[in-house]
Amino acid sequence: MRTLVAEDDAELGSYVRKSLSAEGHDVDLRATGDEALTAALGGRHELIILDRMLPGRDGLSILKELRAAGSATPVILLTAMGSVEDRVEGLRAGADDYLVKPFAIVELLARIDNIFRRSAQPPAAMELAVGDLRLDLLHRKAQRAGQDIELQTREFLLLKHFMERPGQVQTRMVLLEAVWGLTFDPRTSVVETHVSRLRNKIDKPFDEPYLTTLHGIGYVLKP
Amino acid sequence: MSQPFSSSIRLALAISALFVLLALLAGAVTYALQTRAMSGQLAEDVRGLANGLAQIASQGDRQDLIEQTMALSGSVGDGSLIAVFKDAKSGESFGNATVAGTTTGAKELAIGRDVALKQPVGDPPKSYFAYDVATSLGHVLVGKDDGPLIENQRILLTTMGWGLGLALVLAILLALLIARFNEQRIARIGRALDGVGGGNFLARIGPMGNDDLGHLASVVDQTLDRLVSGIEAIRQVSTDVAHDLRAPLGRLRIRLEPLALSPELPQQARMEIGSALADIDAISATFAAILRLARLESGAVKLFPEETNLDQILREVCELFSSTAEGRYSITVDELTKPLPYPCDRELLTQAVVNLVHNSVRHCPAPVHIVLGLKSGVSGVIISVTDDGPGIPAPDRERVLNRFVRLDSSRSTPGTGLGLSLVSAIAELHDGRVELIDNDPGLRVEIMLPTR
Repeated sequence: MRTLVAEDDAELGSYVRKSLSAEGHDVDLRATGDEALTAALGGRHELIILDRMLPGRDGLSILKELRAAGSATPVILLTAMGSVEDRVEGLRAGADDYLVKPFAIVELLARIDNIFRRSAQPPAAMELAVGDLRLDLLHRKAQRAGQDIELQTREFLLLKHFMERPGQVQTRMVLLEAVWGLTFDPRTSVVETHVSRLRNKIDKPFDEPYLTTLHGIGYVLKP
Repeated sequence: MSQPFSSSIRLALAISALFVLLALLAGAVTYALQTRAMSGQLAEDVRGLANGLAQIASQGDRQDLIEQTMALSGSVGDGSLIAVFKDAKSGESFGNATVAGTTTGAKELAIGRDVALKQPVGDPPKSYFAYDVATSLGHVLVGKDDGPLIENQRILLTTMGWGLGLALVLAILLALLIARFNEQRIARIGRALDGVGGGNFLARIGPMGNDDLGHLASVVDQTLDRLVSGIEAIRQVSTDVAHDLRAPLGRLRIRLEPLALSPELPQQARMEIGSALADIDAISATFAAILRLARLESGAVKLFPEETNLDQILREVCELFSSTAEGRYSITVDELTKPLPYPCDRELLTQAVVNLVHNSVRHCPAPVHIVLGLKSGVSGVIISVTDDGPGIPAPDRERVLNRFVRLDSSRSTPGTGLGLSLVSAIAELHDGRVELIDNDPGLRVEIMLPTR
């Protein structure tokens, strides 16, 4: 995937490039607003990661010009710390998602994945399956090794989110947004509590655990 | 500031009263002196004339005395002067009047009682000031109408009365005007101080003339400038620190993250690095909150209000917290809460309610019961978060809305002291405000939003 990264912090930029390259992206890194706009208007990218604060031209005006020129390339805006409120403005200007610095690379990857999942055709399947774990999307019931597991609403949404992304690390923020619709951290243990309850239901009675906590990073469902 | 009698008005009235008192005193002295001078003149006149007649009497020429008396008494036709010679031998009275009594010296004669005119005149005087001299031939007496003196005294009194009255009215008016003017200027100083105290850091008195009050105003303004720049500097420092630490924090996170995920490292090391990442995130969250608050308070944040069901926000926050309660607290939405659409920033208001519930959970000993409520009235909408915990003492209630303020009682619990400031900033961004109310027992925090 050809990805344009517009970021003026050299270290952050090169690290994002390295991480995305490892995920199979062909990264085009630009450090100034004007370079970024020229590259973006070149139009050969499938994804653009755009820092809002760039020397020369700011990310938001680049985004607006890009959208005015008719480009529909997905854009993830990187916003400065403490600028959560810019999110709505960014989304209105045509961004597909936003990330507040400092961010975790796994979160960037999760958000990229979400963007392309959204634009992809919805799966016709009524059931998700990972290993011997099954999730009935219609009746909102799970089954492991043939045993029925009752799930509450948020537990179901959480498990569905994980089972759609086996092997991909999900951060707290990503889960809060996907399952609870929150775009800020409520500083409660709501994610931990629900993951723990879900684990009690799908993992505890069985030998092999599916849902793993990556300390300080997030959670992942083993493929 | 707006008491019925301000210090300026009281001063004005006091000075007016003093002025009246002094003017009255001066008037009285003038009156007394004037009266004495005039009556002295009159006394001198009549004594001179009477002594003149007595001089003639002393020469023993009775006929001459009679003629001189008649001449003197006939010299003025309107009865304003009387001259009388009472013959000691015959008891006959010569001159233009008859006088009762024979006391000598200066005396006051009332017409009809002490004196009668021989020839009636139109509009006779009411009284005379007279001088009586006893001679060998008999008493001689000359009297003059003292009406002009009394009239003069009356005119003097009237003039002084009017003059004083007018001056008094003018003085009071002027004093009140000056007092009023000063009162307004003092009120202006008060308004500026109130404004800054209330958080409007731009409020100043402005130029106010060159007198002492004007000087005081400029000193107050300078002090406010220094005070506000001090406050701004403190804010700026916290914002700058947060700002400057963003990049290194970001890089630190970037370096550590792959290590926490690296399968080459032992589990224990990865756990440690994960803990470090969690700490970095906590630091970032605090700095993010500082920066965010600074942006919200500076008005740099653009609000995109959307029609939002406020009751829905309450239900979601309630669900969010009930799932992690574990018996430490209980939370409900007031059963009277009805659907209420309101144009607002959903995310910000949700955050505000979350922060308030957080505070109740964090600062109240378990088990605490929290009720989320929603009311709509003519003046607007009130979102309330009520708990039955220990509450906040009245003097501290205003203070806790400020940044970094943490009461001593909450030193031991985690928190940045930014939560309530953020709620306050969010309310203000929506043209509303936050109020802390004693729930007895417990605390009730209300976010008041205006009708739109």
